[in-house]
Amino acid sequence: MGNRTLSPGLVLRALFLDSEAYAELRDDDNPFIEGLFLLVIIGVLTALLAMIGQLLAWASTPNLAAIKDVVFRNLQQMPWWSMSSGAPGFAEEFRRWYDLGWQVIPAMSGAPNPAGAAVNILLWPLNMLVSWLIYGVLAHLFARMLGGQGRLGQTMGLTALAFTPMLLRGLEFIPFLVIGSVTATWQLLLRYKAVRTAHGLTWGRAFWATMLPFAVYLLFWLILGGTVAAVVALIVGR
Amino acid sequence: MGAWIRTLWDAALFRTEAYERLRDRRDAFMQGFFVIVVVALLVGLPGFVTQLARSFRPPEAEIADARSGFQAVMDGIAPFLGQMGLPAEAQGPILEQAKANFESVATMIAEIEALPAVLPRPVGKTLTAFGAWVSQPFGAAGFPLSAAVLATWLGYGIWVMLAAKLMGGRGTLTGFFGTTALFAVPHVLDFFRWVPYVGAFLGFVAFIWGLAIYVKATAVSHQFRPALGFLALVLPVIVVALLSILLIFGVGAVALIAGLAGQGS
Repeated sequence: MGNRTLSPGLVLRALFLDSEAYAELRDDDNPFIEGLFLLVIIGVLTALLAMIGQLLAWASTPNLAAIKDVVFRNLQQMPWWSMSSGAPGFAEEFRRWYDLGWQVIPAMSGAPNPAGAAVNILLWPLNMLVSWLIYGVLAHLFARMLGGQGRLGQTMGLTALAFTPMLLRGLEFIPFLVIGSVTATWQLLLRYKAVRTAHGLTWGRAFWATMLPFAVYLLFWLILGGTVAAVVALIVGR
Repeated sequence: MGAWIRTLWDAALFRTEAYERLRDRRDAFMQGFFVIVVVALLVGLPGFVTQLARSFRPPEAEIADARSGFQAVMDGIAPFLGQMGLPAEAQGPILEQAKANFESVATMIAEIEALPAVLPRPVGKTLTAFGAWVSQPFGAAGFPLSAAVLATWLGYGIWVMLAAKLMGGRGTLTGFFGTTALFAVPHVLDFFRWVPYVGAFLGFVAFIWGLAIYVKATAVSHQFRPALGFLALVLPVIVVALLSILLIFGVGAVALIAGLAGQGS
């Protein structure tokens, strides 16, 4: 195994779009391995940090089951309840939907979930690896079709650097911090930088090589959605 | 630190050298990132302090404040119901029911506040307020470039960068994003948004001032005339508006044709 190009300094420079950081990794003897290593580190580290935040948030919040009971008891005291509860089966039906809502809403609204955060230590790196492999290969194919000169290993190594905005999720060790969608936009910028540096393309060609994999994703989901709809229609029509 | 603040001040006064210096820095993007983060945290500071102070008040005091606010709203609604033609005898039960609902919700909140947690309540409340404050830079802007947040800086910036490139701009990603982050500087005025009337006015001033800085930054980073910088700024909005109009007309036309075909058959 050759020299290790990857360092915290290089990762930080790559995050802030430093061209030289991308060029350094491109010229490494095995950028693919460096990229793979980087993604695993980012995934595990950020998931661990986010778990600390989830634990603190969980410790700051009263038990959800107790909140659920308080809310239900007080709903029953409201004027609309006495007006509606006369209807046959209302109380049972309401309770059924209420229980169902409490299974779904806390998860969707980001209620503290340390167990889920622990699972993310496995899921986040895995998710990033799959996303990296699919995007990297597609971006490489389009870049080559557009006249790019880079090798697959270089494209993969550099597109791995485009995952560095995910490091922001490490800030979630602060409980109740919400990062939002900024990482996705930031990642898109870095992917453009990665493809352009790996293949030495003009800005226009690099733009298309960066964006066309998303067109493939869209096409895939449309075909999948259409197929599922057709199968359902077939089953229902029988 | 002094030099950094001087650069921001010069940028706010539209001094071209400040933009050029930032554009040519290797770490321009990082500089831009920190401008947005610092301004967003500064703007969120009054909210953080207020939330912190409120979290140390007993829940009963908070509910009492909310009750007086609710009563003021009810007092305002009563004449409005009359104007809508609702007879006086029908207004009473509606207002009574609203009041009863409010009291139930108030009781519910008081009971939830009294529930125990692993960490002491003040610690939990402090963490909640702190988390909300440090989330400020990662929040969303209601309208492009209307707030000093990372999402609008990068999200809208991508489209402006694309428009500028299509217009022949020669800017780099780092130079463009570094200089356009300066739009956040006037948004320090949003620090006063909690002041009634004045806060909203200062917010509007910050928005317009920020847009002017954005135009200047786009022009300098792409070595354009300011008019082209302005065009690059508005082009994404124009394209989205045109596409929306086309979509609405397209859907309308399809619905019309489908309706006519339905009548014909």
